[in-house]
Amino acid sequence: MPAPLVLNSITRADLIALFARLAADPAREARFLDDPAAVLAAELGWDRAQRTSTGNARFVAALRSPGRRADLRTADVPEATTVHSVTTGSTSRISSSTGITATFSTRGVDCGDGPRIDPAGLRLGAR
Amino acid sequence: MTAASLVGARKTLSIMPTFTCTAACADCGTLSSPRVRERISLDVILSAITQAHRLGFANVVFTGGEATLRWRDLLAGLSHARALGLPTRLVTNAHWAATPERARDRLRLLRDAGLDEINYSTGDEHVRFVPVERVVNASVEAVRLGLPVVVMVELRRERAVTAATIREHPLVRALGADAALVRTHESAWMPLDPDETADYPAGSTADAATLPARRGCDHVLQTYTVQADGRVGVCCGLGLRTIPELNTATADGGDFLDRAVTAGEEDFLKLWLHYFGPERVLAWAAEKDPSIDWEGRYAHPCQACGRLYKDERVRTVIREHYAEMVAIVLQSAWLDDHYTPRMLAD
Repeated sequence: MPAPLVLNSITRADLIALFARLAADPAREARFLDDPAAVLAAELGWDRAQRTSTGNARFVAALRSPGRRADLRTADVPEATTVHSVTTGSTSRISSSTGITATFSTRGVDCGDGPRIDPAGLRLGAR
Repeated sequence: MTAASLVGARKTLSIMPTFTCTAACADCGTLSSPRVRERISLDVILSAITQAHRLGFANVVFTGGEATLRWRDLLAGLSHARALGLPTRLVTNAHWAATPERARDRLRLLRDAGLDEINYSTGDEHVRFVPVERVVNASVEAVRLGLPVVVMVELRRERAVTAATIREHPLVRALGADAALVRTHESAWMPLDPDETADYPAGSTADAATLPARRGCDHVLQTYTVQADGRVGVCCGLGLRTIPELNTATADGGDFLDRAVTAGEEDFLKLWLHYFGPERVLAWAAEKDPSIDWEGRYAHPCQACGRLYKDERVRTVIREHYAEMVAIVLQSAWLDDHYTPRMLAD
């Protein structure tokens, strides 16, 4: 029986504390968005070699630009679709044993009177 | 947001009161059938709902197995959720809707107990055991009672039952403009075995070209499932029974949901799956070990997730190299749950 595949070298408590510090300190948050590896090394002692994400960097730059933020608010983010069936006229969705909501969503964020924004869809779309 | 949680999405409590089902579909994602008998007590169901309310969960879903086989306990659970102000959903195969009258009676009882919306599962596998007319009866009567309804239809390349089977049924069309209230979706009907490749319509499976359109896993660390065997899983339930690592607590005591959340969020891999999805993790692993073939195999992320947990080559790559992804994943978590919503709301 193989050992369980669980990666717990960084503790949840440390991450919650880090996120609380980011929430309370805009300068620290800005450093984290510019260079997350450096912040993890400085604050958690997590100094192992890290990849960087050009997609995240592009996305952060877009969020910092007022004009591009406006574009992001109206961006068309595809739902969790896999294929559109011409024969049935139905768009397929990723099913789950908990089904699909017909009335409200736990995903995305309300944005005034506009459509719900989908941060994860926008971020992954920037990759 | 759930109190003291790393993941920002509001959480869903999923309850599988029983694994028993009136159907015995091949490739059932929860291994349910008439032959299995596991069930949790009503006390556990009510405790889970109470805990979910205390932790700030968003809603409660009853699924299974066929949750309506625990009829009185289902009604009790719905009533308890309503009393606590938690919205509810039921996922069912509609076996109980043999006639429109029967469907209306059952739906009225469910609605009056506290049901807010209903999902029906059907398709070529399901109709071997539950005629599609029952799904139609149940859908039409739900619309007439004002109950929001979604029908999920199995998707494979060759199939007889499609979403159009529901939408174009005479009883649905007879609803007139309200026929649009019978929402239909099709979803890949997957084998749980990651070594099997099902026959899907072209373009359904993940590969390098379609990877940009794949999401993170919206369910892991968002949905917590109290299963009929008493285990508490950290995702929606498909494949949970075959992946021990996704079960982080057992339903005993009065704090098992909190324990499941805490243990789930202690695991960086689950955070990685939440923010990037199993297909991206597989693609990353294949960069390190080109023998990991993943493209064109998985139409459903849960099967890709099974591959990730069951293929020793993938497990080895993850163990040896995950550290390089920590900064990206945590930065993504901060972006999705904090920075992006704030910046776009301004």
